Amino acid sequence: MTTVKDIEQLFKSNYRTLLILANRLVHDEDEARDIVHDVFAKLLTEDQREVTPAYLANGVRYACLNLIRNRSVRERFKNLYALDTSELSDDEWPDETTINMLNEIVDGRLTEQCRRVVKLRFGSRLSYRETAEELGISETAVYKHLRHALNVIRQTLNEK
Amino acid sequence: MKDYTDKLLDALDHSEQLTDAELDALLQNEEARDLYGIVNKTADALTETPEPDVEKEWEHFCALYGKRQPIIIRLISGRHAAAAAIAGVVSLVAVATTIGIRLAQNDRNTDSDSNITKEAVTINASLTIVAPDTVRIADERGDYTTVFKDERLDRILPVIGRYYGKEVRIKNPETGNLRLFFKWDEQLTIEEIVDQLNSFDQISIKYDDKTLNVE
Repeated sequence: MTTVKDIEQLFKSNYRTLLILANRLVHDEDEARDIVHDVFAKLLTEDQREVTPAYLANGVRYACLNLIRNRSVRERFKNLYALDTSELSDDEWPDETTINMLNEIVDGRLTEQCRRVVKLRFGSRLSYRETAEELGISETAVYKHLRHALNVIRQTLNEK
Repeated sequence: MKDYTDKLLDALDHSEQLTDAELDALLQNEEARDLYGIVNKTADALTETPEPDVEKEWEHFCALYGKRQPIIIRLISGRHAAAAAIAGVVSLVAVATTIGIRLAQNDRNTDSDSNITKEAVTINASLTIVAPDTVRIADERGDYTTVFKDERLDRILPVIGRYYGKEVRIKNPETGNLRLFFKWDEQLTIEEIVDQLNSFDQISIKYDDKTLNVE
């Protein structure tokens, strides 16, 4: 049986990593935090003899998967969630290699302004109007930067 | 003529202007769907998470899921009253600063020290801040009220349910996602708590001996 002391140690050494994983998938810090807490709460009631970081990560992944599955296609689309959850359920996503590659493309192959646009629209989920206001550019410019960025990302991923 | 990149970028910012059928039709297109996959993965990859305060998160976790019995500090024999008083003060500080200690104390509830007397006192902090958004307060009689601030219903009810020995079933996940400001007086009966929660328009809870059922 996992004791409270064990849980405290597991919590403190894994919380950050699990929060990042959950937030990556559900794009909401509050939801991510609740999901991670719920995974640890289950340890209080389950008779788990051995709890590993991988076990905790799987718990977080499946909780995120359930949250996404319970959303309509429109909600998933609006929140930029995965439409096809098979990669998530098969543990294929998120994989660090692709995540690092995407960050390298955005940081290394886009102009500074284009990078800002992509980070605000896709990373922070601001609307085109909010992104335009934040950067002091037009919505049309935001649109063009995103179109360019998507082409670059698609091409680069296809080359690899 | 707009290509699928244009159509997808339009839809991403104005999905409300598309009917469900139009959105489905767009996402049935292989090119648009592949492109959306890139958008989704880019969003996942670029989502930044602020550095969490793990200690505070642990305290919050304990506040929500820790056992809720009052802490009983067993005192050593009466002739060591001064030492006992110091022990009490130390424990009080512990309660106010780390709920982890409270959990650990509860976890080690098998108090087998034969030197302790049967005398016991309950130490309550007058105000115990257990998390940035959840506060547990004791009045002068030592009765507890927990204030949930902007907490989700599906996180509040398991805490309350556990206290009253009831399972919680929430039929509609949307109801579970409701965020409440709720004061839970632990002296009230479950009937009274349910009445209070049902006074919220969007909440309807029925209960039996074992379960709180949220419609």
